[in-house]
Amino acid sequence: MFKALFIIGTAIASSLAMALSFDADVPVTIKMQMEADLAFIGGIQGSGQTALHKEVFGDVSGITYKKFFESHIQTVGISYCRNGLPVACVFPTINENKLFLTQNFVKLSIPQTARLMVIYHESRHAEKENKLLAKDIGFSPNWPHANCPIPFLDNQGRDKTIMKSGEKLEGLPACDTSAYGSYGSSTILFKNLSKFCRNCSDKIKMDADMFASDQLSRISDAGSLKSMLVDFNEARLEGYAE
Amino acid sequence: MRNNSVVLKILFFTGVLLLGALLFFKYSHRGTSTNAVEKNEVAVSLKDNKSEVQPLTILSEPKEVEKAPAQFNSEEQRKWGMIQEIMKSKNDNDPRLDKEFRDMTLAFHAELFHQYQTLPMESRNERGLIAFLIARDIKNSQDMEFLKSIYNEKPCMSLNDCTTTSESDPHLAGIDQTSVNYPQLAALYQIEKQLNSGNKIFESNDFKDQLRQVLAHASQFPVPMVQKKADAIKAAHPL
Repeated sequence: MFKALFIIGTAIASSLAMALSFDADVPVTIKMQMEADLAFIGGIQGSGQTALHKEVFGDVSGITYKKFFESHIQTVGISYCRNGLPVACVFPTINENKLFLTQNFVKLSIPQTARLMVIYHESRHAEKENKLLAKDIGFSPNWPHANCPIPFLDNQGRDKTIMKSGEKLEGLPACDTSAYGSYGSSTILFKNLSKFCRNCSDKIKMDADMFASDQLSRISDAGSLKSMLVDFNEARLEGYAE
Repeated sequence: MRNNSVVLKILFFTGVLLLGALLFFKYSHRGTSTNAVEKNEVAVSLKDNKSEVQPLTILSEPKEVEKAPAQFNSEEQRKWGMIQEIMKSKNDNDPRLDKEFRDMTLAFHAELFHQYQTLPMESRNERGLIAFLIARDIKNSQDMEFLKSIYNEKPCMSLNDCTTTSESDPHLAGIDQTSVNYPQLAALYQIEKQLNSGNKIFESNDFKDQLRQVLAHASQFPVPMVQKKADAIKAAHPL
């Protein structure tokens, strides 16, 4: 009897522990921050959701986000990613279910929402759907990004640029035409957090809206953009007739 | 047959109990881990491009924890320790942010202004948190002057070093961009929220005038995403 219980207990413990494993060389500070961030999003309680959120993720709830993340990412490693610039990345051609974090994950002073947004953006890239052939993969893995239109202008007719370098975004693979890609799905997730999270602080809800608005600005197809704004009940605010 | 059914039931309930115990252990352990991020230097081995061991300097942590000013009363001292702890924990969902910091004293505001000025420019989340707290709890003209001063800063160009421009990854540059402008944006988001909720403080002509000035400065801040937000607030709330 005790032997049976021991076997059951061990099996349950193993299944929990195996949900997300960290490579041995992931620094303890990075591992702890990642676990703390995932514990936060895994504890979210919601009071509703938009239709697009229901379609992509399900309900606004920690269980939903945990399930989504764990169905995409099984292992976390440490990497330099692209010249050490982002806080996280995936290399789907090497390992589809592995997320790499960089030192920037704990080194830079960014809101918790920003870290989580990168993690969920990259998780979407770890999905097998809409896969590109290895030869096509540059900066655009699964759910590949579209090249931004030329010109790529804001609503005041100014070129959208990368502030840090001054480089124009036009022509770069840094846009989505669909609402369902990495920019679109992370926008949907965080817009819904800002509207429906019941146990988020004011700061988290503000940040979720703020960072979602940035990701939304990378949706270059007018039809997809409008459908998202309608879904968020914000079309009128952005000058679209609903 | 009946015995087998009883054994199965016992095994099932034991399994449920074990699962509960494990989940409790797992999450209670995680809960304490947030505050344990205290090491400033960690040896990191980098795969891919680099294999050498590099020191990891945490830019985001204030170099010294700000001590509570001597003139603070015991309640202010308690809250000051709390806000320093929250900043250090990087837990933006700490419920104390909404429970303890909605109605702060003027002395507490003044000390937050001071801390904002002494924090490194690269402490974007911490500086943004202060801007957020003040803009959520506007009490007097000093608060409005503080908010105005945020838009007189030079824009931060990079999370690593605000004074330099550098190479950027276009893929996730937007998240960097929002983070470097976080104090400026946080103040605007809170001002917008105050206006949407009809905060009576803005019914006074003096405050209206000061708010106009804050928004005018924000519209002049040389970063399009900040200008856009300021202009949207002005359009939605003619003052």
